[in-house]
Amino acid sequence: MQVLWIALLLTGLGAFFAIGMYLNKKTPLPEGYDLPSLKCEHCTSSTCAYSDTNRVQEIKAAIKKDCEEGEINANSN
Amino acid sequence: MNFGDYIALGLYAILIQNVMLTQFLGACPFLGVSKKSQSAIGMGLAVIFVITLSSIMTWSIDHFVLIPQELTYMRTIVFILIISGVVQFVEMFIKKTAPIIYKMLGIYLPLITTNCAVLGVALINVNQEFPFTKMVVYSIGISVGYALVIYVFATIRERLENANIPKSLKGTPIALIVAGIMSIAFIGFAGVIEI
Repeated sequence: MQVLWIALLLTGLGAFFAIGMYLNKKTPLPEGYDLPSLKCEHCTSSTCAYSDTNRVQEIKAAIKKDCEEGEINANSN
Repeated sequence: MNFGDYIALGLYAILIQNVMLTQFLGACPFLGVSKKSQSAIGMGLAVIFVITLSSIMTWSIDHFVLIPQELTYMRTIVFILIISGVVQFVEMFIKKTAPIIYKMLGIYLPLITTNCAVLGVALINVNQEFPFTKMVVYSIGISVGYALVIYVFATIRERLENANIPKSLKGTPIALIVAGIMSIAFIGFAGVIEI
């Protein structure tokens, strides 16, 4: 009986989520509103669907440049 | 419980048991979405909406299905599915009925699905065995507390942009220091209200 309840719960809630996601995708955006580019700049998480991976590369390049400048300064001293 | 007790519970949730600064839940959006006060307000409002609604649904499922059927070990997965579904329906509902609010909240609604504060509050409600009205007041209080601190933190970060800060501390390091100091300040509220 418990197994039946577990199956019902997981199936029901999974369907709830799937239907919600489907209906949400079908719902048009408000008029005159463009969803901002889904590339968010708030953090640099590379696993997040919204993260701007170009920005991750920019930050890596900036860190590398800072390290190289630090090495040059250390060598010159 | 009388009206005064509910006020005390609300204040307890907002200040003494602040979800971010005392319980350290929801730190990712707290640090990530607090660079501008405008986006912090949007995030705060979205969190209030989602936490309240999902707490009601998770409490109901737990009370009427999981506990009677002795399936409390399923709480985590069930609550996650409920929260994900609720966020989808909330986003759809707001898109259709309140486009102005949608334009403000926009991208934040799907991000709240992964906010651990939402799941955390749902689990706290069932672990503390709150009755329904107490659960609603506590959930609203927690989410208002989160919105309050994220807004305050955002305004501080905006001011810090123009402050004379050493280069190595700019950005995330100084933000973390500020968050730590805010957390210490909130410790001062401990013991003011006992539940």
